[in-house]
Amino acid sequence: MKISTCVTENGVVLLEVEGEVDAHTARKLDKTLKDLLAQGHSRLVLDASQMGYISSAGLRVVLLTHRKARQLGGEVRLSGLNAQVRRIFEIAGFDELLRISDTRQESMEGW
Amino acid sequence: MKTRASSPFLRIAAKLENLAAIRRFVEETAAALGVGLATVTDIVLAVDEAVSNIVVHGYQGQPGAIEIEVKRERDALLICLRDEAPPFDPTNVPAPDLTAPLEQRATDGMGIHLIRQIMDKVTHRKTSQGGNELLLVKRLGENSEDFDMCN
Repeated sequence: MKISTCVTENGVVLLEVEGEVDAHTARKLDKTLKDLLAQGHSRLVLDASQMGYISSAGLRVVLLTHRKARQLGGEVRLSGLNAQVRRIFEIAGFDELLRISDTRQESMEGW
Repeated sequence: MKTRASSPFLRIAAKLENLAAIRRFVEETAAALGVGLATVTDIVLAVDEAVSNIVVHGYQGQPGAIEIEVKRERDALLICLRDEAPPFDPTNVPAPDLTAPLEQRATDGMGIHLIRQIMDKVTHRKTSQGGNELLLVKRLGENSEDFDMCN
């Protein structure tokens, strides 16, 4: 799994997560997101268009980050989920807790 | 991959680093047994969740092994997971409340929830050697034949 981050002009952080997020690789995602929160970033867009897989360990990281980000005035938004990854979010009931958009452009709007 | 009683099985160290290799094994084996792509994808997730539970809650960081056997019995795919960890029955884990608001939403128990949603039957038993045996059954047709234990 690879993660690349960039801070956009309006302070929103865009994270591109590429590969598979499981109980092993979720640790790296968790650290990246915790570091961003610690730096005061709470508006986070997770571009999952190159994410091939996610298990409950990854869902847990996303949910806990979203919860913390909301406390800080922001949120986690998701974009570009493939059908399989989206289905996992739906089975877990997370699609009702998080804003999920088809494109990263949609996720970047309306903060 | 080895073959025991004509069923493909994998014996591998119980480490989270091995999850990707386990997913590839289940993916390739289920596909070779004629299971459709969408169902294979679901089953791979269920096995990943079950193995993650064994590593984290069963072995709790201690070294050990997991054995994964995949076989097709007519209209069902059976996955049997065996380990030598202290007894841990994931089927006793309560389901998370999916209607709870964000602040109260539990993050534990999501793995077994996904397994229950995907698989048609999940059965745990302690083995005579003191380990665990978890049978995951996915029906592939309308047949209602029942499966209770790994054979």
